Amino acid sequence: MSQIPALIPGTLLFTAFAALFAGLIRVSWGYALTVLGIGTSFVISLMGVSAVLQEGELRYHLGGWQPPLGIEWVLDPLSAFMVTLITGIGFTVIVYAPRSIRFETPGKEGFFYPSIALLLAGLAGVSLTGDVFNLYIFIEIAALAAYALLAVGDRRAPVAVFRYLIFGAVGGGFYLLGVGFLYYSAGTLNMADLAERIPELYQSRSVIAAAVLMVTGLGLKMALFPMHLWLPDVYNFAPSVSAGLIAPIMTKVSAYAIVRLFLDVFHPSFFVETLPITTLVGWLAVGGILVGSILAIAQSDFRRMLAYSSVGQISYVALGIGLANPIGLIGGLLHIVNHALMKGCLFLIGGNVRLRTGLVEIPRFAGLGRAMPWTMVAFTVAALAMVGIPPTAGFFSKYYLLLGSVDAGNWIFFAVIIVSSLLSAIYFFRVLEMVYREAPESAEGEGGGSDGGGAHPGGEAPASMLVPVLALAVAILLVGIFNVVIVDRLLEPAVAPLAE
Amino acid sequence: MRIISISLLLLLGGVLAYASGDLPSRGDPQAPASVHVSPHYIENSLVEMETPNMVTAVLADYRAFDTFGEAVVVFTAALSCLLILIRRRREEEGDEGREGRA
Amino acid sequence: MSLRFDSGLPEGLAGSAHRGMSRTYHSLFVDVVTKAMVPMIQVFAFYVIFHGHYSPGGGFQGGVMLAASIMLLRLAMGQEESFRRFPPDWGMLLAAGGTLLFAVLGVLPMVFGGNFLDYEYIPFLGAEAATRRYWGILLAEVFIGFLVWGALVAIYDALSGGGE
Repeated sequence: MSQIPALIPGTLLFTAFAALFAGLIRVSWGYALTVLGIGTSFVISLMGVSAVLQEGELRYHLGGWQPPLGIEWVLDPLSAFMVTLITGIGFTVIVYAPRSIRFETPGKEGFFYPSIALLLAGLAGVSLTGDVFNLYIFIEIAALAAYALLAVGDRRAPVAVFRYLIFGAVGGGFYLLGVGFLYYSAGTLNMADLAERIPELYQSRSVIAAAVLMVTGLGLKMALFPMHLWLPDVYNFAPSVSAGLIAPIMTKVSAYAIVRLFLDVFHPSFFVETLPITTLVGWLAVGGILVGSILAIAQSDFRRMLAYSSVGQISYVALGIGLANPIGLIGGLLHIVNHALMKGCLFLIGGNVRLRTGLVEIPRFAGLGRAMPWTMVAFTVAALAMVGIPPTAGFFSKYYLLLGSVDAGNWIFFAVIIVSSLLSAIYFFRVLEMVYREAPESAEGEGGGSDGGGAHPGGEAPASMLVPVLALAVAILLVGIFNVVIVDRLLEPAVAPLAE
Repeated sequence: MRIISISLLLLLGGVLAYASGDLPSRGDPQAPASVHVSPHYIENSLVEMETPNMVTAVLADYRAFDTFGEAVVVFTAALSCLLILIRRRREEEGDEGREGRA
Repeated sequence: MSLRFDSGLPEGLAGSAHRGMSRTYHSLFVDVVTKAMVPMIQVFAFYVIFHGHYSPGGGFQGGVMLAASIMLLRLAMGQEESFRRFPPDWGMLLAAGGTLLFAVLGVLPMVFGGNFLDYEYIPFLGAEAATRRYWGILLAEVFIGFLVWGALVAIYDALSGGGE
């Protein structure tokens, strides 16, 4: 039991090696091992959740050194929640992956699966670590794997990812610079130890600068407005599997890191009173929500629309941070899981459509509702969740955010959430309407790139790609219905420092 | 565009200059970094791991996990290069049959 | 931006490098110096790796030197000859092998009841805790050396169009 924190990323890491070596012999073996490994890590994460709920947080000292001498990993409700989300999405996507990868990036599978395992290992490490420098290292692992996974998409993908790489490297550099300032001022890297030593340094200019640099760096990585410029192109040109894996969790993990800094490293009062970081993040989030939603309406490419909507949705998480009250932050954190499920589902649906019809343009989606009924059922659920219609998951995070805005007395935030829900209704209902419209006769026969010819010839997606999509759709409903369990058991203890 | 980048750079420089004002001076034996964990490393690395070079002791034992993470970073970088570069060319040569062989 | 990234990077960059490098310089001077230098670089690299306990150095630095020696071979001898001495497949195998061995070294203590990377729990590394840690550090440095060696050569080969 006590080894759980090390086992989750450890399993994923060994999966990467096993998949690499097995993939050299035969790709299908590498794939089988990846599924097995990620599935195991998901099971271990679930065990971690139950262990946390029963025994409280687990602190794991790597190398046997007590912190602050060594590095510490912490499995507490919040990190258990994150790793379960990461490995769960990872497992769904890896089940989905093989057909789509073979179709979109033929001949690259051998290195694709190990990279996915490494990405998940990095993200799990970020979630679990209790050490600010260790967090940087795992962010870099995840980022490097993500660059590669995203860059193997379209012909234009490398350019987009190159820009992402620059943004990401600058963000990582800022974060590392901040860590340097922090270490030099406080003399330790351990989060719990920092939390004890920082309060007496609140007036120190280097600690203030450290906080600013670290949040800016992570903000770059989480595509916080106006630092979101890299994101739309990257997700647009990426393979469906990479987008479906990275869009849901990559930026969220950076947001989670900011929450960690906010709650566990610097005391909340530092971010709220000494330095109005949360207020600033909140207003940037307002900008991101509006810009993301409006630009999403303007897109005709399905994936590009999703990418812009991601800019808006990650801003909801940022808005939760910006509200800086327990209920608002719960909304933001709940939106991490909600948006991960919804956006993962939507990007994978995009992959299904692309596999069967080769289409990415929304105006040509007409008739898909008949050609791919189950995929489109999942799409309907996900779209309703994105708009925020009960009882889907998307409703509840927005509900908590609204309550948080009322609590904070911030009616502008309240209005922005409502308006942006209406905006998402516009762009998702537009697609829904198109999907369930009868296919015009003349449009037939143009859908290139499919294995069958014709416009919507292939019919429903293969089971291996349909089941994960439906599973995510069901998860959206389940998380919506049972959100109280997540909120009460996992998120409420996590935001306890705010309640003081 | 140029004005934006120059002003951003100036802003960053300003932040750094502002921040460094409060840093302990270089090599200050009373600096937090010198009194908190460093003394333990300095005093005990020879005893605890028979290693006179305490930099190595910190890197490869006290904070071995960071080093391990860095190792994985290097490995990931190599894997990423192969994923991006080699495959793309092979695909264009129409040789998709041989999988995964570098 | 002069590099064309729209998939022009791989063939463009690699293609020209490929042409340039498959031609062997039949220069006696380069040949002799390379043949003399490479073993010396490698010996010094191993010294750096193994002497990390006592002097500046360690796996990362030594690994870079080892990779540099292979790159010198690649540059001076051309692909055909240097691939015979160090096949391009070896890069990734060394990198994966080194990281995997390091990971195994980390997991071994967990088998014997300790935490990840707690060398004290590996019984066959020595009698005392400090000795075990000593050997644990050394093994870790060696594995890192192999990893960096392999990873840099793999990246170099991928960029220069090797590994076909």
